[in-house]
Amino acid sequence: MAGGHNPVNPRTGAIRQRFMHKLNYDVTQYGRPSCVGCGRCVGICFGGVDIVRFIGMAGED
Amino acid sequence: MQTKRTEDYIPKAAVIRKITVENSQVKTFEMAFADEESNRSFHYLPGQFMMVSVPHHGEAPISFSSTPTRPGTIELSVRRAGALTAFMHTMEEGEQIGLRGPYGKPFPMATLEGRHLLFIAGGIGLAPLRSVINYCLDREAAFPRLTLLYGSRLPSDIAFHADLGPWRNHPRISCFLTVDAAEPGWDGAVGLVTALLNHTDIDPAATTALVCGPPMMIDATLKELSGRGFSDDNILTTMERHMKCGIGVCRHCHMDSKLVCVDGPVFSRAQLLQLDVAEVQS
Repeated sequence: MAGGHNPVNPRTGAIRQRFMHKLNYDVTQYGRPSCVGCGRCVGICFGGVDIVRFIGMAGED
Repeated sequence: MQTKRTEDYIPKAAVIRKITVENSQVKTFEMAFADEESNRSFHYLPGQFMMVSVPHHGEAPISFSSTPTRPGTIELSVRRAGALTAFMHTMEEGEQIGLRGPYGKPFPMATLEGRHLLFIAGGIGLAPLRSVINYCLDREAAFPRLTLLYGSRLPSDIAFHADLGPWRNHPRISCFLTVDAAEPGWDGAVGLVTALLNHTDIDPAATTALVCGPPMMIDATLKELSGRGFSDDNILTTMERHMKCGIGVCRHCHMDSKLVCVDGPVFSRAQLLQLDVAEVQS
């Protein structure tokens, strides 16, 4: 931003926003999740980011 | 899904009528749409912002620093910070620029009527508050008492001299200025803007604070006001985020579950405390 400060932690904040907007925020805003649950992103991800694991971990909290 | 009208997000040509140099980093651009009909139908309120664009140089969100009570032209105060704003600083009067908007929720001016308004600004943060201050001064009956606390880095960084002069002599507004570091010729206060609160007599129950400035200052000021007995609903601030679309589609300006471009940029401390926000650590 203009002041040179980054309000979103690039590790925790970005991944949290990525999944929370698909599964939670968009449900509030548009009435449905923006993840259809096809699972292709899990197999293709080079970084091993696994939305299914995230849902499991979020469910434990 | 919310429906969007195309005229809400297609930039319109505007002409720069006048450029005021506020300090070494900030210029105020007074502009009007090239098309008279757009000027007549254009309405905004303090706290909202415009998306400003120049072809090949980018687009950026800039908040209004002028008041809708003085219609005809709009003023945007721009600090030289990135590609677009650096180019804007090379532009001259008479050149064309693209504008779309207004976007965002404004300050709740109707609910602020009758209250003592305390403005706390840091640096370029005075720009959106200048819009509110001039709005309040133009509506004398509704806003009886205003107080401005304004902090700058250096005395030479103090912006909006053309407004500060009349404000200092105005019976309904009291101005207090401070700088982080003095320069020769400065005989005013030195220190943080929150220290100026000691010089003012404020009844937290009858006062609403409007805060805008850099993130560190927002955090410190919101805590200080809360400690002085302001309720969280009576502390308003406007957030800076890199809004890309302005209409709640791209989510660049996300702040937890909120989007600054459509849910803000004006938030109360009560709203911010429910979110995970970098500027507000409880």
